Amino acid sequence: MPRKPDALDYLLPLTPAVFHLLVALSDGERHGYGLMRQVSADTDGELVLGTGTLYGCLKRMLAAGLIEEADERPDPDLDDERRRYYRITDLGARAVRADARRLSVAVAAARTRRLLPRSAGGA
Amino acid sequence: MREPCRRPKLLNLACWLYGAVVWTYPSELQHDFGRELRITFRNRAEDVLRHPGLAPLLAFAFHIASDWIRTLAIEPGEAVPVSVRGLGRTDACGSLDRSTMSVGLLLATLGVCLMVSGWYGWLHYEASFPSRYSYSTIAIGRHQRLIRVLRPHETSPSLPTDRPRLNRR
Repeated sequence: MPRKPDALDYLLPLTPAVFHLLVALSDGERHGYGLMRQVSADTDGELVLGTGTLYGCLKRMLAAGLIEEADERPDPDLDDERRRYYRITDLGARAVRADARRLSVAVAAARTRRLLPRSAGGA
Repeated sequence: MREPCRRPKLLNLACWLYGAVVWTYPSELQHDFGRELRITFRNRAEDVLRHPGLAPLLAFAFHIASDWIRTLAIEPGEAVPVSVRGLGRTDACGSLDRSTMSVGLLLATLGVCLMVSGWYGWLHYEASFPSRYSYSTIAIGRHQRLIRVLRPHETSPSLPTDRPRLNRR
């Protein structure tokens, strides 16, 4: 019997930018520039999001329910009060987990065919 | 707390230019994230300006320009006419819509960049090759002008020195 499609099926696969933004948000709330820096750090500078691309992605992610705006700022004394902070939703967490699983299966297949080295560290 | 920027004038100029870039974005994105876009740009520009040298600045400018083009191409712009003078939607019917203006502004900016780079290239070329051709052209011109002053009847025999006498008996 065919499975009934749910919201995740329409969201997957995630684009690289959305995937990395969700990964960056998975360990806490962040503002736009914090997200930009975290994505750059996570990808060793391979993916540096421009401001337009970043907020275009955030707008679509908010509309899809993958993230939501945080009501409270983590540390109001240390930061600009005009900033908005974002947090991942349950749907977003499920989506990034599912996409990470899909990518790990793809990486495993690439390893089996010796397209990637066996060790996780490379070389 | 962020450190103060070392080049505040350049930072303010960059922020002002980025304000013009944000103006070309689709109005929904501008309305929802305009302020955030400017704050994030300012933070990033401050970080870039902390690095010495021209290379990080150029890389940053190129990244912003490519992001601008990508955002204009990807973000859906509404086909509703938007008046520059702030008229309502019904009043603005028949005027230019924002996407047309954005593309126009983009092309105009590219044109200005090409013009400035062409002018700079030409200056550079002239400076690096003060060629014999340039000098000889100037010398010939000066020589001709001198001859014209000293011997006006010999300079251009094809030209009439006085009015032609037409129908005169």
